[in-house]
Amino acid sequence: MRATEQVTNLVWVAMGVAIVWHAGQVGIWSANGPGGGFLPLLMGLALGCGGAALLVREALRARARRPRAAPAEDAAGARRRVAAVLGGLVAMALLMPLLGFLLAAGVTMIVLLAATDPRRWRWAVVLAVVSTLTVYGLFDTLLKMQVPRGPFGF
Amino acid sequence: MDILSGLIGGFGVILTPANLYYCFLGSLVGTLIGVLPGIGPLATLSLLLPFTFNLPAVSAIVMLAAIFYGAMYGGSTTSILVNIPGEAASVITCLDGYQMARQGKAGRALGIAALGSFFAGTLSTAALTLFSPVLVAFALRFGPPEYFALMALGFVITLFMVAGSTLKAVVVLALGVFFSTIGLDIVTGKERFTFGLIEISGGFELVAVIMGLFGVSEILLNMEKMAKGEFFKKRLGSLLPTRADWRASGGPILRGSLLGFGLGVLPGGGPTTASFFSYAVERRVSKEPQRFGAGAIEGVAGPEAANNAAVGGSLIPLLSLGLPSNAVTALLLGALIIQGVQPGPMLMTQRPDIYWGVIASLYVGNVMLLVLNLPLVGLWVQLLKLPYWILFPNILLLAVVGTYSAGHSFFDVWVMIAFGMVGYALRKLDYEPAPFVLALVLGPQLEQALRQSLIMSEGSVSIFFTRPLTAVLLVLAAALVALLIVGVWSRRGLSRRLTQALKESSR
Repeated sequence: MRATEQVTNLVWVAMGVAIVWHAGQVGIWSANGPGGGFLPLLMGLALGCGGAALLVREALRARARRPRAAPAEDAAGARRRVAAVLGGLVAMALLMPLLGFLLAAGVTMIVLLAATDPRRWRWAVVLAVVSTLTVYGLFDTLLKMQVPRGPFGF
Repeated sequence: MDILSGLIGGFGVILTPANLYYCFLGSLVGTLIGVLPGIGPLATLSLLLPFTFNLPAVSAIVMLAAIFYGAMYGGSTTSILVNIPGEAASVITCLDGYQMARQGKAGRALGIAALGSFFAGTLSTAALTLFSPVLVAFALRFGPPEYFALMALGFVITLFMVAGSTLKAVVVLALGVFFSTIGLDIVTGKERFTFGLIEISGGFELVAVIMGLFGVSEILLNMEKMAKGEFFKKRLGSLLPTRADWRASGGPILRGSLLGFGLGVLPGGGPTTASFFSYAVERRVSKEPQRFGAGAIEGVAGPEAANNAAVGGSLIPLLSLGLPSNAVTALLLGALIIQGVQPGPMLMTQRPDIYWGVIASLYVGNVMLLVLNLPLVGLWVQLLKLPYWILFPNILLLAVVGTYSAGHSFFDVWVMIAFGMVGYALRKLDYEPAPFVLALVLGPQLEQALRQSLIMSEGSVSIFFTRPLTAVLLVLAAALVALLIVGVWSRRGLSRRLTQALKESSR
């Protein structure tokens, strides 16, 4: 986790530098007072300095390194479930423009639910179909809000 | 007299079938998400924001506000019966509430939580009714420098109130303000930081960002745990507290109400902070502090009153200044802006229907919540048995469709996924994402006030020190920053306790 922390802190520093540089391109000051880059410049500085301070603090803490925490129970299962949800979301975002919400969500949900808990795959099919139809009905029919449509008109 | 006539007008707005329905719906949904662990008021408000686009502004805000305070009521049920907080503000209720339940006093704990919440909610609404117009009258004299100074002070106070690392909060706040500047420059109309992406020339869609940061990241965290609580199997017993319970709880409820209201007003404060402070105060003033953690009713009554009172307090800066004090009220501010309403001190005169309607709805909503939470407690107990694997697909689909329908854009769905991953990573690394929303919503106002001030003074920063109120606010902000840096005011004790308790509760 410490390495991840330090990489994150480096990202903040890099982002801060990039924002400061880009703010300069946008224009920090003009004849009318502060330019469009003025506030981003301040925020870039705050982000960069904050990241640098976190970097130093974490490096100093490394000397008094704490014992590594035991891995959580079912860590692999947890990772699999998180990856399944993220994969499902990405799949849905990719499929929706092609198939429309109903088909894209239905298919993705079946795969996602089966992946998160393979023991309940029959339930996964039922739940995916019911959830998709409920949300579609709620938005499209009841609330008259626009839902992505596919080549079959739904 | 103006207050009374305004309030009567507000009741006229709220006591219509449609607005009563939305108030009830909000209270119901609020209680539901308060009861269900794994989804908090912020995620729910972001999920339901797109639903309100087609509603009249009053109905939309009344419903969203009801979800906020409804969640405070519902959260205690799960804390008391399952020892898992339904939402963050009820974390501390687990300590004594669950012990009471184990001793066969679950009904009395639920009863005092609901009745104390009702009392505190009503008291804080009365205070909101009285104090908010006073602040409005004062705020009408504010110019851009005063607004800038107030927001700057608000951000600094937020750094003090955030649980966990202050440095991390600085990073999150800076990121939030920076993201709010992406898109068109408010003065020149030129694009900034868009890298040619036309989809973000108007800035990121607020719904997509919040939905990702809170909705999706919450699902991801819950998927890791798939927590199973120890479900309470004993009988609830009587829901009415005994005379001895009332004697023990009267003081804590009153203290919790006052403390909650005060902390709700402060930037960065809110229900969670209020409930922790209330618990600490009750333990300190108790003659038998050793009873806390072993089923002391004061440990339920005080914090539950405090988290409800904080809701009324947090609406004061929103309704009178147009400035949110926490992430949930920032979302309410976003909802107002989406509805085409300009929040600020003019809201009371320009849109009295919204201003007084929302205040009146708090009185009505509190009564509805008392009915929903006491006689219907059995229904909520049954809902606690609903497993998360049934809930999460529906939440996920709501997030996707809600985000898409907010801007009819597939790009926004990708933004939601990206912010979901960022939110998940930040929360895993103990970053508190709530200040990001506050900064994202307040960022444009902050920039506008700053640039208008400097244009007024032809670029001279002296404008911030020659206007008395601005100078006082900025000196105060600078002093707090200095305190943060030198660590004279050590907030580590509180922060550690808060973070620790939150972590323990989520295990």
